[in-house]
Amino acid sequence: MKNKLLRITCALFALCMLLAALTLSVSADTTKEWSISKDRTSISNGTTTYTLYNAPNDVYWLPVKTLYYYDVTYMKGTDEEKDFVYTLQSVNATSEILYLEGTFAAGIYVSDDARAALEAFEREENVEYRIFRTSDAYAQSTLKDSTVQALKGLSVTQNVDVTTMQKLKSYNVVYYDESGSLYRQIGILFYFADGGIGFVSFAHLNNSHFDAYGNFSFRSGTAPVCMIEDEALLAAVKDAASSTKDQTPEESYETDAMYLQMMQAVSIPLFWVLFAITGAVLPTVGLILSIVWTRSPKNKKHPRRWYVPLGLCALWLLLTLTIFLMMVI
Amino acid sequence: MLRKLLKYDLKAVWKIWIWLAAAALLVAIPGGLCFRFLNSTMGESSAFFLLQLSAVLGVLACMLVIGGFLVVTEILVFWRFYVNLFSDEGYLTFTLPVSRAQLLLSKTLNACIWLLSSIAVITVSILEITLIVQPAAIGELFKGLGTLITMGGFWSVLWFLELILIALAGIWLSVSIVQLCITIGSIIAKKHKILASIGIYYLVNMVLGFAGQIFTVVGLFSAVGAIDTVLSHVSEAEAPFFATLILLAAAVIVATIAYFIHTITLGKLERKLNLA
Repeated sequence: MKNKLLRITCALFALCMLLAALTLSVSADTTKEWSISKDRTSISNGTTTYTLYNAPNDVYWLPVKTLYYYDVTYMKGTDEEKDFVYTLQSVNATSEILYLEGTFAAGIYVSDDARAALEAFEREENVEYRIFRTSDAYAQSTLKDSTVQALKGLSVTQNVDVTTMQKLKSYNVVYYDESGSLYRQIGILFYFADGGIGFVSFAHLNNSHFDAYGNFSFRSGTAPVCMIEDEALLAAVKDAASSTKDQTPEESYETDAMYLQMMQAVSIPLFWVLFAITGAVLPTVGLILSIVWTRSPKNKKHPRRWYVPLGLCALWLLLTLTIFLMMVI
Repeated sequence: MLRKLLKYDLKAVWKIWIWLAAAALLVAIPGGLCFRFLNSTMGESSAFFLLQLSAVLGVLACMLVIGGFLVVTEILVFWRFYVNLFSDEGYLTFTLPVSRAQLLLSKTLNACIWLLSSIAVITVSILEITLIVQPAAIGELFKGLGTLITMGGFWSVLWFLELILIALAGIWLSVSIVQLCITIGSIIAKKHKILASIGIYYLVNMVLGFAGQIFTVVGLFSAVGAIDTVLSHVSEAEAPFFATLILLAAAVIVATIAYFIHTITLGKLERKLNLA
């Protein structure tokens, strides 16, 4: 009986070890190697090729909510032997619009699939309208399409000296592409001292209204302003302005994502193995030993002594089962 | 009969323990004063140097007495266990009209009671020192506990009770392990039983410590990585009940292991012990 018990216990132990070893054998993706063409018009990670997107001057890269950094420090294929990459980023790990900053180049690179979407963005199709404080681009809220169309349909009511507008509270009216990576500005909303709100549409402006960086210039001259008279439109604009909230992107990194994936690939099965050992195997062994020792001739005088651990092991198993059911159902 | 056994066991330890407890409680006062003095004169000129040195020695002495109190209590209870059952006194003990199960249970209860009492005395000593050094901290502590109870309500009271249960089971487990080591040491060795028991205890501690560390590291690693996935089905309303189950399971696990070890020790006492 002793040998049989020993064999059963050893077999159970070996089974646990085998289970643990099987669940721990995991293969992880290796980091992709990036390369850039000699003319710097395309980059590739070995699977997908991204070509340079010649964005109009008034298109800016500003993802909000999430920002994903690829694990790249050096790109192969350039003239110089070593070219340091400052960042290769996108709005998330699956986006096909990338922004590269390096000693040799800076620009937006897109896959063929994403290019069609960007062409639609340039035509102001499939876009999302937003406003943000001129002083804080990350404090954003969305604008309804109808509100933006109404703003665009306003007529110019006055020409205002731009130098008087610099200190006014203002919101940039922009539209974002489908991926939420790029935006283009279509106007600015100004809150005037008399309580009125005026809209300066970029469609009414020319080059003299912008500085060398493409920003609205407050240096000199006048700008055509469309004062909002319609109450409903005024309410919609005020509502959007007051709804702006900080959307500074949460940054994530490819290496971290990879380690997290690896960790989850290992830790989840490992957790269940430990749970099974602690919650099922050990109390089962205890239960078997208690039953055996209750009937053992050595314990003929005191068989009831082993009823207590029998009950405790049964309770242990019951609690494990309840906890397991709560975790999976 | 168990009550009588326990009474004499408690009486035997009480005679020395009470003086040690009194010393631990009394030494906390000058220790606290020394600590307060050091706190207030930190960075002061060397005029206070001798006084500061004395204060440091005072604090060290206080910590030694309080720490040593627990160690001496453990030595007292387990020495009584050894002497009563495995030395010449054992011949008399085993002639008493009580079962070996009752004898072992009495010794186990004796050890648990004195260890718990020692922990209570040490807690009071620490509170005394805190009261002298920073009285406001006591108020903050009780305020915090009150806030916890208010936030958790019925569940926090339940969890507190379960934690006490886990602590009691843990004390029983640690006492059972020591008793088993002493029993095995006394059975294996004919001479130098104490040394053998200490050796076995260190070996057991080393193995358990090693296994415990691996289990903790691996367990923590897996828990941290898996927690989101594993707890995704547990709603916010179910979370307190889930936590209650986990704590109860922990108490049951510790109690089961303690009982097994206790029963194995009893088995050895009944069948293997030979005082000749």
